[in-house]
Amino acid sequence: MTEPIFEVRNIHYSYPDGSEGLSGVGFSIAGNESVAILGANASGKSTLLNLLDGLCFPNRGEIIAFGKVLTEESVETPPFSRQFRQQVGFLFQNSEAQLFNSTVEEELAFGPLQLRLPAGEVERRVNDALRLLEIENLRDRPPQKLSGGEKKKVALASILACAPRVILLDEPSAGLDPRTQQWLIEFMAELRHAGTTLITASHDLSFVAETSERALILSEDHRLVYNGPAGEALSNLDLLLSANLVHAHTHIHDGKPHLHPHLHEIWHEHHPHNK
Amino acid sequence: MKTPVLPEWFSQPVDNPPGPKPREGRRFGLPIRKTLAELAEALAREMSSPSQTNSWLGKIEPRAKIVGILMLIFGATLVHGLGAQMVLLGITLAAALSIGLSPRQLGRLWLGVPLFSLAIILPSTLNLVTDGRTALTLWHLGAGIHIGSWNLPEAITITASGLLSAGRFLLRTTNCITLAFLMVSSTDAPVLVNAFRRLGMPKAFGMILTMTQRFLVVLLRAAEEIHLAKLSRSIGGSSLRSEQKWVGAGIAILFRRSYRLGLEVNYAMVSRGYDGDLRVASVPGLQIRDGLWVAAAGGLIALLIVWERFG
Ligand SMILES: Nc1ncnc2c1ncn2[C@@H]1O[C@H](COP(=O)(O)OP(=O)(O)OP(=O)(O)O)[C@@H](O)[C@H]1O
Ligand SMILES: [Mg+2]
Repeated sequence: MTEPIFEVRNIHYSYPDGSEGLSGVGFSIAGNESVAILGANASGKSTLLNLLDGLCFPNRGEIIAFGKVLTEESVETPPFSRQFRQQVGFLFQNSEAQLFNSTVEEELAFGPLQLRLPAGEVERRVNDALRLLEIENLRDRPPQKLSGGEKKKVALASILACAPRVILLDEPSAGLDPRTQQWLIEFMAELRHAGTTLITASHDLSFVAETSERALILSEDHRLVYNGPAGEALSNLDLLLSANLVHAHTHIHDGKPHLHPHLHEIWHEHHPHNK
Repeated sequence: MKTPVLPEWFSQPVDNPPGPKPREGRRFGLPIRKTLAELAEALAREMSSPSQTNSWLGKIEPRAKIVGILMLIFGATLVHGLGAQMVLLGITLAAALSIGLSPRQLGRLWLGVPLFSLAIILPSTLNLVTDGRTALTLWHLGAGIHIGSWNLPEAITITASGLLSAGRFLLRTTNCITLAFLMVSSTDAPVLVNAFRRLGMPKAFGMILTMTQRFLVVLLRAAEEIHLAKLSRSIGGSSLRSEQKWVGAGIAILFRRSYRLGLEVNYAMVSRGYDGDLRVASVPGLQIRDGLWVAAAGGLIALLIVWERFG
């Protein structure tokens, strides 16, 4: 294990309107790990990612990123501010809000420009990112008019153009067709291979099984109830049930949760999975 | 968790729904949906379109362009005579056409904004507000009528001097608005904000401008979606009144949603390194033509003022 990238110490967070986001969460994440944050709707996954990205700050406890405490001041003071923004990329749950430029090309150039890269380098990165995600044909299109899957790709490209070491992904598989999902799984493996740390918030268990080796599970009362190997979590039905991540009709085959259709009259047979 | 039991109305046949029969032969929800879509479109795209940004005005360095346009706007507020204003309007119009703005776009601009200012200025043409030679008598009241201690004149008339000052005001606003539109339509929004910043506009101001522009596009999109969601749920045609009622409710939802959306857009920008200073792809430095443009703008204003004073 290398020096931890994120060190989260017993953080509490509640929104200005009083609704609770997280309560008493602590863990650490090392370089080149792939960690899943699992939890039911409203358990605080997105909130946790916002905190990790230094977009809001815990009411109590602290987050240490790259050896420095994240505070409003530290993330706004150069040179740390720029390093931090360059090294951490965030794929938002809502691509609609993430894409705010008038063309895909501008969208991709936005990050590198804010990081003050020279014009030639910006152009090179835009072109490379477009090629990498195979979206060169979308270059001049307004991002608002793309399909959901295309938007995800553009959003991902816009982050990759900043060359981050850590990528926070919020429900990356939501709304993608099976083929694109498979593509994303492979793409994430590729990123891992290149040394990128991936932190994925999701409730898509099969997606997590394919992409992450460690899991953090948030309960519905916003606490951390599990921190350990993903495989172990995914085969622990009681744990998944208590976090409301699965339905009572779930069974586990080959260490993978599997939901039975709840139609008792239909006979249901299990074929041995060939993996 | 128990499996939800669907209520019986859920599986009722479509050809026999409860409630009043919908009126037939009406296309539903079109006007508002169209307006929203058009507005979003206009803001996202028409604000500056490639044909304008590639025109001669679009090629002028943004800071020089701002200085020139501001000089012309300032000039428009200095020049008094109708004649000089007309000359300025003529030149502005020619410039607008030469950078490829269509008469339709200009028509929309002139109908919308100056009409609005006309409504404000109209009362001042009356002799109640502006004294002077009568141009047109509207209403004969008779002598000795008063409201409280205020004696009304014998007749309410439109005065010549009132008309003149209204005309001057109208021309002036039209000139200023058209000039501002020339600037906005020929410059990409981020480039414009960046240029204002480099001319010394405070950072907070630039941030608000940037956020507003980005956020509006996303917000209008959300508005359109809410409307679409409503459309997909309505079966029959909807009357204008129910549509208006819906708009009221929709705005309330939109306001609630807009807070989170605004926050998200801001987060997405900050996450990618936006720190209040919007950096844009570098624009070529100042060139001779930029100097010529500023000199021309200044020269034109000087000429108009001199012509007015001594001509
Ligand atoms: N901007 C906000 N203002 C107020 N409360 C909020 C805000 N964002 C989230 N919350 C609340 O904080 C709690 C955690 O929300 P969060 O978005 O982190 O959940 P999540 O695990 O990401 O859920 P999902 O799977 O639905 O995305 C919820 O109860 C939510 O209502
Ligand atoms: Mg979420």
